[in-house]
Parts: sequence; structure tokens; C-alpha cells
Amino acid sequence: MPRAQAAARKNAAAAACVPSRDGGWLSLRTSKRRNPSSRTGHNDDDGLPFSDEILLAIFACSGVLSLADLVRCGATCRRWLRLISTEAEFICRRSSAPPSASRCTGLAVGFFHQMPEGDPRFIPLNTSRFPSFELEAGEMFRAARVVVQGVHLLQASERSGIILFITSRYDQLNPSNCLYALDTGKKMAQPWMIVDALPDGICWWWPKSRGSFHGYEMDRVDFLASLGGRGDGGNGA
Amino acid sequence: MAAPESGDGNNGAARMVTLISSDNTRFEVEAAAASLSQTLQLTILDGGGGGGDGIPLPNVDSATLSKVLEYCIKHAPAAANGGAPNATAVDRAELERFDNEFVNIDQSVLYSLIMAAHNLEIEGLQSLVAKKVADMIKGKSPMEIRRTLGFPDPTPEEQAEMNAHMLEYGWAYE
Repeated sequence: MPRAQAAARKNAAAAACVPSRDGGWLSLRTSKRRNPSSRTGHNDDDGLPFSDEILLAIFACSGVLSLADLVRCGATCRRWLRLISTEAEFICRRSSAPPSASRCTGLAVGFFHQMPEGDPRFIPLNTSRFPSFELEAGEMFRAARVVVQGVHLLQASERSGIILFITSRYDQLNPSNCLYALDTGKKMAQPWMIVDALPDGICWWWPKSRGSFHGYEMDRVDFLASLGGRGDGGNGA
Repeated sequence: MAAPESGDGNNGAARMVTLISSDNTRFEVEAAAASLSQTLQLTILDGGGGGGDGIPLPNVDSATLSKVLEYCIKHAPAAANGGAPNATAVDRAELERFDNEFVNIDQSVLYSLIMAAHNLEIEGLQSLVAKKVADMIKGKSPMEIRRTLGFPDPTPEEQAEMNAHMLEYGWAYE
């Protein structure tokens, strides 16, 4: 795919998130989302009698909808996607994270796979594929082995260069854990990244160099705003 | 909270006002209850709605208005206490029970109620119905949301977009 185009369509949130990279990683992640030809989108009527204001009150309803709920709402129809992405700030300001721990069950939401050539690709992770952390489930993970098990699960595939860090808690994602992981798993210098869904946003981590970590958080507002498209017009902003 | 100090003090509690639905049914309620509507509050403070006058509500039919007023009458005492800081736990539990039952209604009634709560700017009711819809959405897939809320079937193009979204944001679909 044309890299220049991908970079140009990179959304602002991704840019903020990957300041030290050329943007190729996240562009890859987002560019397959929709092509411009599918964006006829003038008619985004969902058939509901509600005004935008009413819908926003529903999305922002305090403590009910999680980030994942809002992401799914964004896929429901174009009008909802437009509202959620353009009014992300309003929605997040009004809604507060529910106190329940269920929001933090978050396993890693995906990882970057270093291809033999080219850019690493983001692989979204559906953890239902790994009931009770059995890792031999798919071809992709045949070469995987568990390096650390317990609260954290670190999985490394020496063949494919995948390193996957799964945590149930944000505060367990810290540089010392990551360093430990690097020490334990040999030959894991390939770029990798951890993505986690948090109550307040999405968190990305990757090594700047061996032994040194960078963590970036994309907050809920930026993340939801990024759902709305690449700023190439037509999304009714 | 919706009804500020202005509504409590003087003889407001006993005063009655008349509201007239779009189908010309007249409802007589206490001014304090009707004043939960911020739209009506000023009119009522100005002395409107009393006597034979009545306040016309051309956007609200009688079935919906009676439901709205049921809510207002139930919530007026607590609102008059400024959000009822001194309400007992029993009072609060009773209001919560009432609220839960109150929104346990047909979708068409719920939709009318949402529109009315919005037009009349009844803050508590707006939150209540918004939460009801949010609860209906919660945990559902986009397709389930569409069915639940009665959207038209997606076009093939929309379906393709939904599928692509699911692939990309797999974590949100667990």
C-alpha cells in the first residue's frame, strides 16, 4: 500500500501517540478500515426520532457504557460514528468510568507482529481465542511459549518475533515488568508493542531501545475521535 | 437539583397549574411538580398556567404527558428539598424502585418519553430514560443494537463496514 498516502491519512491521535515513529505502524492499523469509496455517507439517518443531543446524552450516560461499548456503538451506523468521534470530548467529560472492576479485565487488545520485511503489523487480539491461556490454539502461535505465567503472561514466538504481554491491570504494566520480560526471553529485540484497554483510554508501550521503555497513553477522547475517520472529509465533522 | 430555591419557599407547594396536551386533554398538577420542567418553570413562576388558562404543550400527547407527570409528582418532594440531602435511605430506595419500574415500558412509550423529557427539560427524567437506552445498548454487538432499537436492516455496504470494524477492534467485541 502506498505509504505516503497512509501517512497522510494518519489521524491526529495516532500522530500524538507515536511521535518518534514515522506513523507507519498505526497507519497500517487504521488504513484498512474503510476506503473512501465507501464513504458516500450523506444519509446517515438511523431511523430513530432522536436529535443528536438526545443520542449524546445516551452515550454520555454516566457510568453505563464502557469504552468498548462506545466503540461498538461507533460501528452501529454512520450517524453514531459521526457523533461519537466528533463529540468524544463531551461524551468522555460527562461519563465517568463505572467503579466496577469489570472494566479492567482488559487483556492486551492486540500486538504488533514484526514481518520478515516491511512494517510491523498490528494484530488485534481476540482473547476468547485463548480460553484459559491455552496458546496452541492457532497456527499463528504454534511456536509460542509461555515465558512468565501468573498475573502476567508473556508469550514469545521466536519464529515470528511476536511478543505478547497480557496483563489484567494497568498498574502492572511498568518498565520493570517489561525489563524482566526482556531478560527472560532471549532474542526478543524485535519491536513490539503492548496495547491495553483501560478505563480511561488505550495504552501503548514499546521499547525505545533494549532496556528502555516508552509508554504512551491515548486517552478516551483521542481514541474515540480517531474512530471517525482520517480527516479526509465526508464524515460530517 | 432541577428545581432551585425559587420553587420551594412561598406558597408554591399548594398552587395548581393546568397543562394541556397536544390532543387537548387538560392535566391539573401542583406547580411544584410541573416546575421540574425547566421549560415550564419560568412560565409558572410568572404566574402562568393557573386559573382557566392552562399551558399548551403541542409536542406532548396525553398518554405521554400523564406518564411524565407521574414522574414529576413522585419526584417533586425530593426535588423541593434541593436534591433531598436529608432524605432517608428508605426514601431514596423507594424513588429508585419507582424509577426502575417507571422505565419498564414498551419501546414506543419509552421513545415518546425521551422526546417529552427532552422538550420539557426535566433533568432527572432525561437521565433516567437515557440510562435506560444506554442499558439496552450495553454489551451488545452493533447488529444487536440495531435490532434492539429498531433500525432498518443495514445495507450491504454498512454490513461490510461493521465487519471491518469488528476485525479491527476485536478487543471491543469480546
